[in-house]
Amino acid sequence: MKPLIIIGTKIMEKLLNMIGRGSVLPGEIALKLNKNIMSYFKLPKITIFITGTTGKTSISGILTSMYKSNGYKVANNSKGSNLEWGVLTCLIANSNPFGKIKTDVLVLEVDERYVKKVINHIKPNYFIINNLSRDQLARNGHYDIVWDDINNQITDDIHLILNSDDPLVTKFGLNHKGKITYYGLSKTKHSTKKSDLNNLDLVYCPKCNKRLTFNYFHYGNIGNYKCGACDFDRPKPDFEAQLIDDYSFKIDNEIIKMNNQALYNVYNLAASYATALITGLSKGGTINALNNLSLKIKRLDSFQVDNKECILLLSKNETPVSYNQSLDYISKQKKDKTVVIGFNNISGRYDLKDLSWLWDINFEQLNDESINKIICVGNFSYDIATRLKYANIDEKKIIIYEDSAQLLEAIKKHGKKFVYCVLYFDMEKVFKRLLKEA
Amino acid sequence: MIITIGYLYYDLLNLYGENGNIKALKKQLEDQGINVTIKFLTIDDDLDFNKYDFVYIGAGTENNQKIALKHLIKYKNDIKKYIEDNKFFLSTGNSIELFGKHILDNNKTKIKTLGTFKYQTIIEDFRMIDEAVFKASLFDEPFIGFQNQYGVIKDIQEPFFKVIKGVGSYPNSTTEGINYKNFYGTYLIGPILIRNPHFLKHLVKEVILSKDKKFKFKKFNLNFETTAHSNFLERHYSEISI
Repeated sequence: MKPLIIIGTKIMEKLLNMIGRGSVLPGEIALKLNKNIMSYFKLPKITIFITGTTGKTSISGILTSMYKSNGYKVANNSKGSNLEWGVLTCLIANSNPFGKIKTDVLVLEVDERYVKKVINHIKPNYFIINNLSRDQLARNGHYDIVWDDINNQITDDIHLILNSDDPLVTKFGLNHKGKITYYGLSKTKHSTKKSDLNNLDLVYCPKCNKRLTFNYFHYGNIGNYKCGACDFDRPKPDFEAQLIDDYSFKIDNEIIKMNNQALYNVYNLAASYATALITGLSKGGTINALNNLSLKIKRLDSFQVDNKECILLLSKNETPVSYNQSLDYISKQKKDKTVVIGFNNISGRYDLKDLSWLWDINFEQLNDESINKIICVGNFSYDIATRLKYANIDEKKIIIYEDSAQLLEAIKKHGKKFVYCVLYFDMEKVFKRLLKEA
Repeated sequence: MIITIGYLYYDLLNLYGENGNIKALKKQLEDQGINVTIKFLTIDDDLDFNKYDFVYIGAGTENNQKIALKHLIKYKNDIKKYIEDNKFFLSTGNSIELFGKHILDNNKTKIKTLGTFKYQTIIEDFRMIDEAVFKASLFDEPFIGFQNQYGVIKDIQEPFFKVIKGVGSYPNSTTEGINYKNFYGTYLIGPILIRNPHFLKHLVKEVILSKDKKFKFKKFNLNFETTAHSNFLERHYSEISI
């Protein structure tokens, strides 16, 4: 029966692809026909899982491209979905009827809450956990719940690849008897004594509950920490990146260039470098691949509205650590500017309207003379405006457009030459549609 | 006039943007010309309830809640006296559990809590997450908010709210929260004073009046907050007759 399910859903997957409809339907159907179908697959020697609050797709893209350019055949789910159906669709597409994965490497990004559903059936030999922080709390409850979910699935035969700078991640290493490789980033000229976020997830020692000391923060909860009372501290990274300038860093005495200066990119690349080396890629081949990434790390999109340059910062609601990075980026642009903030829905995933996350983001950094106006757009524009008001931003600077169809008019009327648009996916769609119609 | 706000466990019980409540109180009090001092308090600090005019405590992970409890329980008598003396206390999210007799954990361990009130909390093995619309007899305007909790409380004597929509004190309950003298406790998480400007205004007025009965109030500026509140109700709960 199982080979038939695979053959059937494989054909379906090919057909869907031919008509340009990549979808997770084959996985969904296979799962309906046999809920244990995932256990049937025989995995390649290098099977890597990637999870974390942010960076999953980037790391899995970098790894895929890196193994490919070193002559490996790679299966990867990033074009589909990181939930169990997406994982299963990827397995179906890359296996023979007997469930044997035909590639040398399997790179799977797995949603934090779906790790338990996937590991029950297929177990990675390498597991990258890039970071963990408060995210979609209306779905997740809180980060300790997510942490427990992941931790319950980790067995000692899995080689963990962990970010040494995130204490909530290194906590996974505390009881792990198997191999662990740590990657991290040393102090940079951007490091700060105080975090850019006020409400951090882990500032008390997970071993003894005493307050942790942070020598410096990179951003969010990520930095260099140690407990004054017990031996819990930032593990010495096996692979430590040192920033050279905003667009390059050194790791293992080699130089890696980036086309995006955000620090989280360093982690994505360092995680990939560490994984490559411990899975047997050569240093030269890895460096070469990383410096010639076929997948270009996303640059910011920009659009013209009249003579104004609108820079799009796509920002996920309910994920304070990354939303805050969009604001941080804006606050570092010293030119005169306008900011647009907007969303019509809080989540694309569920209809639960929790607004508490707005208060975990440091909107105070938009209280800056170089910003002439902040335009709040969409169904929650008054909630955004309220948040800005309590960030002590002058109410005269706050412009409200509840109707997102007015987005371009708002920009034309209030925009300076540079307009930074912090938009959720739904508002990005509106924005692009309006541009097309204009 | 100086008003001192004690913000309890700002670094442990800060799970759902609770700091919004502190920002709200500070700004609105300052708009009335009051000097506001915020005491950011945590487990390394000595608490002195004689010094606070208003105390706030918010939601945390179950683990952080226990860390805070271990410290807070040393002050159980001070807290009781503070509340009996009609002083202001706001507790949101699972911090409400700390004021009952005990928390019955899901492995059936009884964790002793402050015992300010007689209720007990039972920890379920499923999480209750939902939007909430509540009504309090003191106010015409409904309360809006969000719940995200493992605990249920079934024996509150002085409930604060009637449940219109949401989990309430436990699934299918009709009431939620507690209001005793100037103690307000609720499972609602996050910046409830921001989302419910009528409540914010009430508390700001009452705490000022408690220090100066003849205080002359300036007009409150709550325009954004009030529109956000009424928009939310109109867009999503227009069927609810208020």
